Amino acid sequence: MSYRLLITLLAFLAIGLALITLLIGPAGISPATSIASLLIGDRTDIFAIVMREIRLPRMLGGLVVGISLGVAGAAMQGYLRNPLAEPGLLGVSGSAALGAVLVLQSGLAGMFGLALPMAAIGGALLAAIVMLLVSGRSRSSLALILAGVALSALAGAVTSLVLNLSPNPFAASEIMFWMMGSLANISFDQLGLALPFMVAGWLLLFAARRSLDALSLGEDAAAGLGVNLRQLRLLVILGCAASIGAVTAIAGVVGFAGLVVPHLLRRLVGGEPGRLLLASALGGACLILATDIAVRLVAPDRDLKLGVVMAMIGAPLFLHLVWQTGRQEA
Amino acid sequence: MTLTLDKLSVDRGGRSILSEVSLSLRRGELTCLVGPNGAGKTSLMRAALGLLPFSGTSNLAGLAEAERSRMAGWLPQEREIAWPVSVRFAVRLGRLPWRGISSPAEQEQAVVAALQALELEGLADRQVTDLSGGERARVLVARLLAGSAQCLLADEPTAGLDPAHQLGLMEQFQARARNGAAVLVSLHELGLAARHADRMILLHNGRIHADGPPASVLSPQNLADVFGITAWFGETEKGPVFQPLARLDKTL
Repeated sequence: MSYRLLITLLAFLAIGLALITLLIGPAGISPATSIASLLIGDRTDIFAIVMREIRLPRMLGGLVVGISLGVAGAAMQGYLRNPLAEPGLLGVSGSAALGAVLVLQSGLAGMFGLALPMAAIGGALLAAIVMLLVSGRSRSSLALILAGVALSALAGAVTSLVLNLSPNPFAASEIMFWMMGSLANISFDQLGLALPFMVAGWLLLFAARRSLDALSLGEDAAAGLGVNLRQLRLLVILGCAASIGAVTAIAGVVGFAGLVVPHLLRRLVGGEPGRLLLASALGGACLILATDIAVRLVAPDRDLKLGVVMAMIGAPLFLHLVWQTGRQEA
Repeated sequence: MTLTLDKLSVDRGGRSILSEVSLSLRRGELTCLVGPNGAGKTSLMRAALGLLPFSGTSNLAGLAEAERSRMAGWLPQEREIAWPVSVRFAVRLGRLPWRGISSPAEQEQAVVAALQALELEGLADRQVTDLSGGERARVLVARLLAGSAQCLLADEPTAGLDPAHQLGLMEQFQARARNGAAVLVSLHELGLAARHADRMILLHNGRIHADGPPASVLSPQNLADVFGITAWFGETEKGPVFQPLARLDKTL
């Protein structure tokens, strides 16, 4: 399949899925009414409020969360030249979660609506700064992986400590549910806060696409082709931190998409890391939106969590893929 | 512009890898860099390009990355291609330094020429992961040649190739030199180096032990001092032929 065709198909699929997510929900509004209320409903129309305040931000949230996870996953795999890499490896999602958990536990989240997303983004950017300081001197990406593993472990341990010491069982369960990841409570205020970070992250990662292509030949050859390895690392770390920090800020911890999507699309784009960025961005949007549709169709009244459902569907799919690849190589 | 090194030294972990190496490559010449394992061949090339910390001066290392990558092409020893990309894509990467400078038509022309030079046209749309080790090595040399740099540095490009492809590669490097490029190739196959080199640099313990035409560099004395071997060196109608014969020191 040609690259253009693939991108066009993925784009149409993402748009189609986004429209479907607008039409389903517990309010049980008919599709025609949904669209009418969204477009021409006035302020007194309850359906218009549901469409504009709940479903539209949820759809847009799914779209940008998916794009962010897809592009960051593809960039990380390209940068580390490893199909098992994912944005969480940098410790940014763990640190973003820690920031959010601290705000949830302290009760700040209840007092000020944007406290949680701001703390999550702050946590991610702090993690990026630590990563840059710790791995800054070495040119190799190995230092980055090791620092990321250590940082993830630390953030995870502190998060557990907060839960461990939490005097309030309600806060603890709120934290647990938040960490499972969900698009259910995304508001336009949150989107307004997160979107600039996401877009900045996308732009930084797309700016790295040629360097990621060159890196296919190894760090030494890429440096010989004029790639500034330090600058590339800066782009990847800041790009992932900004986009994944913002994802965690509005949707909680959503893993897996960043790992699976680039993997699924790699062969279709001919293995090229630069081209995989855009394909993965669209593929990520498709996966998140499709999962969010599943969340609402399977158990509309139980508030299933996005992260849970995605791993339930994605993990077996991924195992199947690994099995298939193993068979081809054997 | 070619490569000029002045008193280039490299230390790693308190150990001296290269000490005060000075040399200047000349356009039109294929220079072979030889020496035993650990002599410092790879370090010399990497430091020359600024990929390794060093003291002394290298004219290439002083350039900005983008400019250097157009002046000098670099083929590392590791034949890494991380993803299942096509042969054509891998060779195109050699044109990366020229993006926005050469026209798309020129870019594509250079890629096609490099594919032809390495007899890879038939494989252009295959995935590199499906190729043999030798084919992969040729893809990476094509990538180097596509870059059309005036100075080429290749680290053991012939290692692990069959004799026909070793000869083929050396002929390619020779042709590049004849076209006015300065070419530096490190090699372990002294016979191959003797056959093709215009100039040979013998590196020993991080210093230049000898520098000159192959016949003078591969003198019995140098071979004994540096490699600890005796060899037969003769002129044939096809050019110089070199064959190692025996080890001098059996305690190695």
